[in-house]
Amino acid sequence: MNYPVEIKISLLSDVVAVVLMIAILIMTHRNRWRGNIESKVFKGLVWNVILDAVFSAASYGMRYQTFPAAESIEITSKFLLEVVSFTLGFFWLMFVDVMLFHSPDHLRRKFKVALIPVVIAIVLLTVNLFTGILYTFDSDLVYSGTWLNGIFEGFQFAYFILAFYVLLDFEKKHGKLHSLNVKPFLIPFLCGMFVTVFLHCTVLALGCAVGIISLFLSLHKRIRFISDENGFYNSEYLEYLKFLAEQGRFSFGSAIVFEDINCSGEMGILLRNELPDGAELIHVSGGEYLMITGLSKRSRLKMLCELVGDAVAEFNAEHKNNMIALKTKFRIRRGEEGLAGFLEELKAQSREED
Amino acid sequence: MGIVEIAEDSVEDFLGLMDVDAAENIGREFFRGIGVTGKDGEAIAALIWELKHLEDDDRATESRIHFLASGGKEADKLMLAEYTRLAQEDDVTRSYYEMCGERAETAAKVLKSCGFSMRETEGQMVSMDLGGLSSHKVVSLGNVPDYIFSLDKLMVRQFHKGVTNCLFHSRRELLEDVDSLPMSWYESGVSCCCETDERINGFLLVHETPSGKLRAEMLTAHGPDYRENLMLMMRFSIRKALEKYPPETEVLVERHDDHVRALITYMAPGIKGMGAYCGERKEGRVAL
Repeated sequence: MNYPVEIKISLLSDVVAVVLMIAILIMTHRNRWRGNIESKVFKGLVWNVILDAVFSAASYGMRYQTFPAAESIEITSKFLLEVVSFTLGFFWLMFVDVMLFHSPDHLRRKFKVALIPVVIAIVLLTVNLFTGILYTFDSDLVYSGTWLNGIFEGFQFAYFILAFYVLLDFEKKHGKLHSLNVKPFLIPFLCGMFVTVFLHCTVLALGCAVGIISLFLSLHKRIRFISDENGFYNSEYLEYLKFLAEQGRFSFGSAIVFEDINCSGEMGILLRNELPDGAELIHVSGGEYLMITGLSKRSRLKMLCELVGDAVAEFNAEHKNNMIALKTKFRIRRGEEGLAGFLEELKAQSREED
Repeated sequence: MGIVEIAEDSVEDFLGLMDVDAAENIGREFFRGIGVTGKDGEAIAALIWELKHLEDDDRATESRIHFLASGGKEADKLMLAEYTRLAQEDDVTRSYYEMCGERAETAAKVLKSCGFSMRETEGQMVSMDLGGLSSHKVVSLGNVPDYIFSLDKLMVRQFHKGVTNCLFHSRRELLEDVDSLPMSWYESGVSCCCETDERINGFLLVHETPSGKLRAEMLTAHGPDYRENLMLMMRFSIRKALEKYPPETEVLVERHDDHVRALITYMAPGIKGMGAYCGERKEGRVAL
């Protein structure tokens, strides 16, 4: 079948998009990318692009085909493509939300409301199958959209606009967020959209795929600080914090060292469960963990240590064969003490105590 | 005349001088009390204060005087001299007071004679009645989701974990001794918490004073839906309070920062703080 050039380019771009996304799925199969809500939503975004590319290829591939099932395949593929195009914006909004707030409960609550436009879209697309209110196919199975379809497709961008608003609102309240940079995704996505709309060459899936690759590389800069073995921040992160502190881009009030002298292997999980959410715990070595906090009140630090102590006591009562021997020490920052010097003093303090 | 420390074992001797709500603070970690006794050991004068930022390494220690019962010129002079000495021992840099009620003016005059400034003003403490609060649309309309629940559903360790979590994230002034006050200090049927992502990340803790008033001790929430959760906790607590207390029950809230001030304005527009006498004094010099 001799397709027009635009269709060949579209089909090729869809294949490339699928290959790129499969590569991303393989790379995110590592431990530090698994289990948390952020990576699940990210993978949802990846799968969305894969499905977008597959249905796009199936839909375009059926054009000018004459075998009996071609029309059904095109109509079905187009329907599914429209649904998946809508859910792309939905997944992007969910991704931005989870990267900002890291809250599965919050995501679940917003998810229900955010899903409403998707449900309405599916209903409209289903109605379209019988009425052609949004788009139709001619005898050559060439798609043509109605004026209503323009409005319908415009609504897809409402999710992106809402996601942008959520990000701006967050940064207004909490300052610039360095862990999430949306430009790596949005720029290729917008380029893909521009080519699709104005040059009539559907490369949107490829634009999204390139965007996701850029986003992955941007996230990877932070993910490299997470240990593959246990999911905690590694010592490379500590060096990064020292660097930021020297630049005046990181401030702290105190640090606590939690050490399991027995190296039972259970300390990390216990700390993760007991310490406040958002506490950044660095696995220094063996059974030693370091928590750098913004607190400067002695009683609060003691409270944290006691909380962990109580949890350890409870754990040891149930696991007599694998007990944790806990040692804690903390130090409060004096004046404008730098992080590197502060940590040296903390080490010296613990050597004296030993 | 003699000076004695008012502690948990001696507070009863001074109950005749003190109001019961002030007296119950004796025994709390950062509260101190001294009294003057006569030659027969009878209580003549009393003073209760609270140390602020004592354990903050990056803030100067201050003292807030909560209660003063005058016992005459000589007793007051003795008492304030002892207070000054103790304040200096604790490295207090500034003492201040804000007092409402019958004895406030007398107490303020005594403090003024000892170097404190004095002015009459609208106080930070606001008093509302429970029935009035319940008519607000935040309370009367809407449901409370099941992730907001009363304190009596929490175990002690969960409570402490939740308090630690909230303190870790709070940037605002909270009770000095919130980390050491037991769960039993709070009215468990009325106080509530907010649990999301398997963690307690919000509290509305209410204390019932000996005189039967309800005092909001802590209202805090963090996380993406903190504003909504604050409102939901208020809805929950006020509804629960109505089940247990008559509508004329006095509810006290101290507007100690702009957030609480804004919340009170929203809940009770136009409400004014209780009339109070306030003043302060820099420590580190003899003011008598």
